[in-house]
Amino acid sequence: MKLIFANSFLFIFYLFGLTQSLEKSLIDANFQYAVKLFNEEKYFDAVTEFKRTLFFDTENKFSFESNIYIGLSYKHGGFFDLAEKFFNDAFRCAKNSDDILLAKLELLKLFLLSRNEPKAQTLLFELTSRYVPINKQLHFESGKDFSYRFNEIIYWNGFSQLYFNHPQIANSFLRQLRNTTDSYYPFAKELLSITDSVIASQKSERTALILSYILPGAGQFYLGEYISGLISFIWNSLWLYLSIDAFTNKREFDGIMILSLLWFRFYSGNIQNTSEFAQNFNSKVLNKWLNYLQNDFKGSKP
Amino acid sequence: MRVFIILSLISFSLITAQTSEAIRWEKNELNYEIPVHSSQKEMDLNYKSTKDFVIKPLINLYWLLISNVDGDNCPFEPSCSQFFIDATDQTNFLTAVLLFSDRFQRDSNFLNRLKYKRTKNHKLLDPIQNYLFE
Amino acid sequence: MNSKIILKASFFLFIVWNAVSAQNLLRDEPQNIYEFAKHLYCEGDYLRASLESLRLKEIAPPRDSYFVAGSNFPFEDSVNFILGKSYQNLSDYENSTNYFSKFLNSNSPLKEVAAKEYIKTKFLQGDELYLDKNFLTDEGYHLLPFYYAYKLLSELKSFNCVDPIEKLKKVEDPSAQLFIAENCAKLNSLEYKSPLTAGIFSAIIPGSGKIYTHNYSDGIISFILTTLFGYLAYDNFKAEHNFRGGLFAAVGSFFYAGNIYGSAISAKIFNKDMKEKFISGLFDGLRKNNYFIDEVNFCK
Repeated sequence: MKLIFANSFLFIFYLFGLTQSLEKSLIDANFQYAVKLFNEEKYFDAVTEFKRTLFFDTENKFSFESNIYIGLSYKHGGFFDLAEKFFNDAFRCAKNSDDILLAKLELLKLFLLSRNEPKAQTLLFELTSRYVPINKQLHFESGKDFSYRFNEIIYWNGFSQLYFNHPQIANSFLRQLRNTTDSYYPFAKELLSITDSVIASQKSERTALILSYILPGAGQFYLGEYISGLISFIWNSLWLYLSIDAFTNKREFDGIMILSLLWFRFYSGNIQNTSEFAQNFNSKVLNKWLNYLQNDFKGSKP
Repeated sequence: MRVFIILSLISFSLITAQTSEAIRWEKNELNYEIPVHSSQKEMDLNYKSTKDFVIKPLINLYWLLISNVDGDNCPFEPSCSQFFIDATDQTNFLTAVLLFSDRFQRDSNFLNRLKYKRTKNHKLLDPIQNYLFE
Repeated sequence: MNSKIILKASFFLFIVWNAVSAQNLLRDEPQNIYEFAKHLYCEGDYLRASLESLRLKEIAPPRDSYFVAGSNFPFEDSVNFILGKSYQNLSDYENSTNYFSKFLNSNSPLKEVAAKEYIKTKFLQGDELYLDKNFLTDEGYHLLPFYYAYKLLSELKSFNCVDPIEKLKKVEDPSAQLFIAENCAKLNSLEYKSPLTAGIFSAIIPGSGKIYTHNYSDGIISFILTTLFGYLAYDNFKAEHNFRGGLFAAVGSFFYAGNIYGSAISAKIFNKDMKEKFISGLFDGLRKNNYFIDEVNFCK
C-alpha cells in the first residue's frame, strides 16, 4: 500500500515535470543547451546540438541562428570550408536585412581568418556599394535606412584592408568616419591611429627598388640587410669591372658572356632580394599590430 | 633526417586548412599574422657525421655568397643544393652525386615543368623521396 | 520502516525530477536519437552519425524485435548498419568490420547487404579475404559469387590477374564480370619499362634511356649537355689545352653517369606511375558501380 502510494506520488511528479518541459518547448531547450555548449567553448558538441536543433526545428524558428552558430563553431575549430558552407546556409535562412548583413559580416571575418583576399575584397565591395552612400545619396534596401550602420561598414573596410596589409587604403576608408554615438566609432578611431603608425613605420618597397636599380645593394642597406647588400654590391661591381675590362681589351666574347651569364644573374638577384626584403620588413611591422589586434584590441574582430 | 621529413610533413599539414572531420576536435588557436616566407637559406649548422664536416661548410658558404644573392634560379623545391644534402643523408655519396647530376640536367630543361606538382610557393615539388626505391 | 520508504521515494523523485527537467527529451529519447543519427548519416556527417549511434546503443539496450517507427529494419540492425557504414566512410575499417560482422550470424533482413559491406570493408582495408562458414552453408544469401568477385578484385589490387576466364564464371553478376575482365585486360596490357634497358640505352646514346621512358625533353637536354661537354673536352684536348679539356671531360662524365643512373630511376618511376594510374582507375570504376552493392534506402 505504501509502495503504491509512493509510486503514484512519483508518477504525478513525473507528469508534472514532463508537462513543464514540454511547455518550455523541447527545441527551445535544445537550442539553449547548444548555446551553453558554445559559450563553454565545447565547439564540437555545440555543432552536434545545433544540428539537432536544425533537424527537429521544422518551423525554422532557429534556422538562421543555428547555422550562424555552427559556422562560428567550425571557424573556431579551424574548419573554414565547413564554416563557409554554414554561413551561406544562414544567409539563405535570413529573415530580414539585418540577418543578411550579419551573415555577410561573418563570411567576411571568415575570409579574413583564412586569408582568402579575393573573396574578402569581393564581399567588401558588395557591402560597401550597398550600405555606404555614393554621391552623398544613401542606399535604401526594402525601405530601410542603413545609415546607422555606416560606421560599422567603414570599420570593417578599415580592419580588412589593414589586415591584408593595405594600410593606405584602410586609412582612406577610416577617414570617412562619422562622429556618431554608435559603438563602432571609438574603435574605428583607434584603428585609424593604428593605420597611421603602420604607415609611418613601414618602408617603401618602391624606394628600395629604385635604390637597388641605381646602385646594387643600396636598397638592402635602406632596409637594414647590410650583409646581403654588401655581398650583392661586391659581386655586381666585380662582374661589371671584369666585363668592362674584357671589352677594353677587345675580348668582346668574354665580355658578353660575363655580362649576360654572371652580372645579369646577380643584378636581377639583387632586385629580387630587395623586393622580398621590403615585403618581409613591412609584413613584420604589420604583424606586431595584428598581434595587438588579436590579443588586446577591444573592438569587434574576426 | 627522418625527423626532418616528418616535421616538414607535419608543418605542411598544419598549413593546409582542415576540410572534413575525422575525429572529435578541440578549439583551434586562431592566428592573425601574415605568414612571412623568406627564400634566403639559413646556414645549416647541424653537423652529425664526418661527412657533414666536409660538405656542409662548403654548401653554407655557397648559400651565403652565391645562392642567396644571385636570385631565384631554381624552379624546384627542395633546391638543387638541398636536394644534394638530402641525397647524401638518404643514400651513399656516389648515389647522391649521380642523383644530383640527374636533377641538374632536369633543372636545365624548361619543357618538363608540367610533370611536377606545384607547392604553395609555386615551386615544382621534387623531393628526394621520389627517387628512392627500396 | 515508514521513514525508509519516504527516503527512498524522495531519492527516486530527485533523480526523476532531474532527468525530466534538466535533460532534454529531444536529446535522449531513443526514437529521436535514431532519427537524428540517420539524418546525420544521410547528410554525410559520418563522425557525428557514429557518435549518436553509440550514444543510442548506450541509452537503449539491444532488443531484437523492436522496430522503430518509419524504419523497415529492426532498430538494433539499423543502428549497427549505420555504425558500420559511418566507420567505413571514416576509413576506420577495424570498427566498420566489427559492426558488419554482427550481422553474419543473425537472421536480419539486412544480413545480405551487411555481409557484402563486410567483404568490401575487408577489401578496402587490404585484409586477406576469407570465407566465413556462414557464407558457405547458407546458400540462401547468394554471397559466394560476390565473394569470388572481391577475391578477383583484391588480386587485381595487388597487380595479379592470371587465367581470369575460369574464375570469372563463378562471379555470375554480368556487370562485375565485365568490370573485372576489362581491368584484368588493362593490367595485363600495362607496358613496363626495364631499368636495365633504360640504363643501357643511355650508356650507348646519352639521353636515349630517358626517351625510352617517355621523358622526351629530359632526354634531349641530357643528350645536348653530355655531347656538348664531350665535344668541348675533345676540342680542348686536341688544341692541347689539357687543363680545360680535363675540366670539360669531368663535367661531361658527371652528366653522362648521372644520366645513366637517372634513366634507370626514371624507368622505375614510369612503372610506379603506371601502377598508380591503374589502381586509381580501378577504384574510380568501383565507385561508379557502387562496389557492386545495392544501396540500402535509408535516406529518402
